[in-house]
Amino acid sequence: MNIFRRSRSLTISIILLSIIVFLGFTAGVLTDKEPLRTGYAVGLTAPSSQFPMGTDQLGRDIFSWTLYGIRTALFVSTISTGLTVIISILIGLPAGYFGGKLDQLLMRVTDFFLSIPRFILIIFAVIIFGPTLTNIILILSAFSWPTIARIVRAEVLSIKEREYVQAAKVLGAGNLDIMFNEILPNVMPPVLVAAALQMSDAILAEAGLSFLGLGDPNTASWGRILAIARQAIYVGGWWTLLFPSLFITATVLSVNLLADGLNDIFNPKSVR
Amino acid sequence: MKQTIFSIQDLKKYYLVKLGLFKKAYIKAVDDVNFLIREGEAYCIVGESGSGKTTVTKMLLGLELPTEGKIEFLGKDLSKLLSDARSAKDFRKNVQAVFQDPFSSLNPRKTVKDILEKPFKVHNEKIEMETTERLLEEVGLIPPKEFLKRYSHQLSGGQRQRVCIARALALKPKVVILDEPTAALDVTIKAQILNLLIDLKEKYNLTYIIISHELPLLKSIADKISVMYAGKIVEEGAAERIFNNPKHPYTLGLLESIPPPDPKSAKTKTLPTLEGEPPSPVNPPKGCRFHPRCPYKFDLCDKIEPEKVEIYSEHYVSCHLFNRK
Repeated sequence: MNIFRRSRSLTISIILLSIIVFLGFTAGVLTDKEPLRTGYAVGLTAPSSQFPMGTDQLGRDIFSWTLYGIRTALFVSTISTGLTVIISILIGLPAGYFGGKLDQLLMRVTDFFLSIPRFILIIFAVIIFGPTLTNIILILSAFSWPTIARIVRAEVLSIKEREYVQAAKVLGAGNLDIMFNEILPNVMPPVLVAAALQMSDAILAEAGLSFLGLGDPNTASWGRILAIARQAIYVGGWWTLLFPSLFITATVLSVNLLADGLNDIFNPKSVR
Repeated sequence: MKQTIFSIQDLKKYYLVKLGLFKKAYIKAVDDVNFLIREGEAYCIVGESGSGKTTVTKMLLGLELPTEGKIEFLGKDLSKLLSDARSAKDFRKNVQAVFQDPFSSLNPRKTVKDILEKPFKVHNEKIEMETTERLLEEVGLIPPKEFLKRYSHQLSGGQRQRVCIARALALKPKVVILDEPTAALDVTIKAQILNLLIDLKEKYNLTYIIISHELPLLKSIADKISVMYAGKIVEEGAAERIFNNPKHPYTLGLLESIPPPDPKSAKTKTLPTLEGEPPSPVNPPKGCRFHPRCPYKFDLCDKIEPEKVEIYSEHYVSCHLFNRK
């Protein structure tokens, strides 16, 4: 409980996130309607007791769509962030630890990826490989690792000079042992903060892709509702815009606050 | 004659520094150092910071490669020993180290138990429940059960240093290299750690290589002392001789800059100081490297580098004052 007292951001983000996660998990109980099924109503319907968030032009229930959208957003963002972190560690750790030519090579590759606008690259890749959920997850992680890999490398550079690393070398520990058992645990705090930020990026990227029509057509995504809202809004269908946007904002905000809170905990000195 | 553990010949370590786009220079951290370390000795290397003493230990530990020269461990070339996985492990088992800063020499994310089990895991040796506890008792952390589950931030500086010593002793090494083992500790703790080191040395017939700049503390433990200045050994000899009858002007200066323990005499007397600062290791002075600060400097000193002279048996000085024929 001490942790929560130390960081208000963390408290707020955990409350917000648990509400969002709870809504996502209980989506099947909270609504009996399927998210992508058409014809629940005839045409655009305003919010009512039957449709708490209204329907779109094809009579799809926005409430159920938004709730199931939580699942998609969290699934895509957590898995792709997890993969991103793994790739970053596999690249940044040896680069920082061994240095020299390997470092040069890996960092130039990293620079190359950093120099291309990421979202455009992602759009191209999705067009080429096809818009399935798996592909989107893989593509997001494949293009998101450079920033975190740089953080990992920078941390490794400082930690590998610490005396406990020297002591492990003197004990005769191998390079892999030192990298993963001695250095990695000490690299994780800033990486976790960056990973939380990456997660909010991934949520936005997935929504963005769906908005552009590049999302998986078989999953309920917030971005797709917003694409519909683009037309619905002209005939007064404000609810198609408002509710999914609220959820995107709340989720991204709470994940960003989580990053902020983690930062407060890992660097207590930076707060006061 | 006791067995020679380490034999160091013409050891040099130069670091390349880039001063500009095309300008390069070498930092001569260690320049032509020779010495022998025998079994059971406490061999101390003293000198100001930047004199190259830590670099020497890093090379002895195989953490840095010498630019030139040879290090032999028990008669075998160290670089060859380390290139073979099996002999490298054997070397690691025999030569252990305790570092200067007990705050950074223990991994903050590991418990004392993890830290002490590591040496056995690395060398695929059996760990019994009592092994780690016995190690902790050995270094005076009693009761051991209480310390095993602690993290390093839950220990005091002295306790951390004791854990470091326990880790170094875990594999029953022949040699322990101590890089300023007491520099970061409180005065009262310094003495405790030093006494512990003396006890352990006798108990296990250890050979110590101690790096330090705290000369008074060394009195109780050192057998041999070598004084380093700007990458070179300026004087080497039995500890007693060095303390009672120092020859090289620099050694003299070092010993005189220790404040006397009697406060009355300390107040009336200003301490004699070594004027100036250690020279730049990139561009050391010509001739004797100490000459710009030496009170006894004469015309030879800034022209010719002094040779090593044996003035007693196994007491060497590199100074023109003792080289006049």
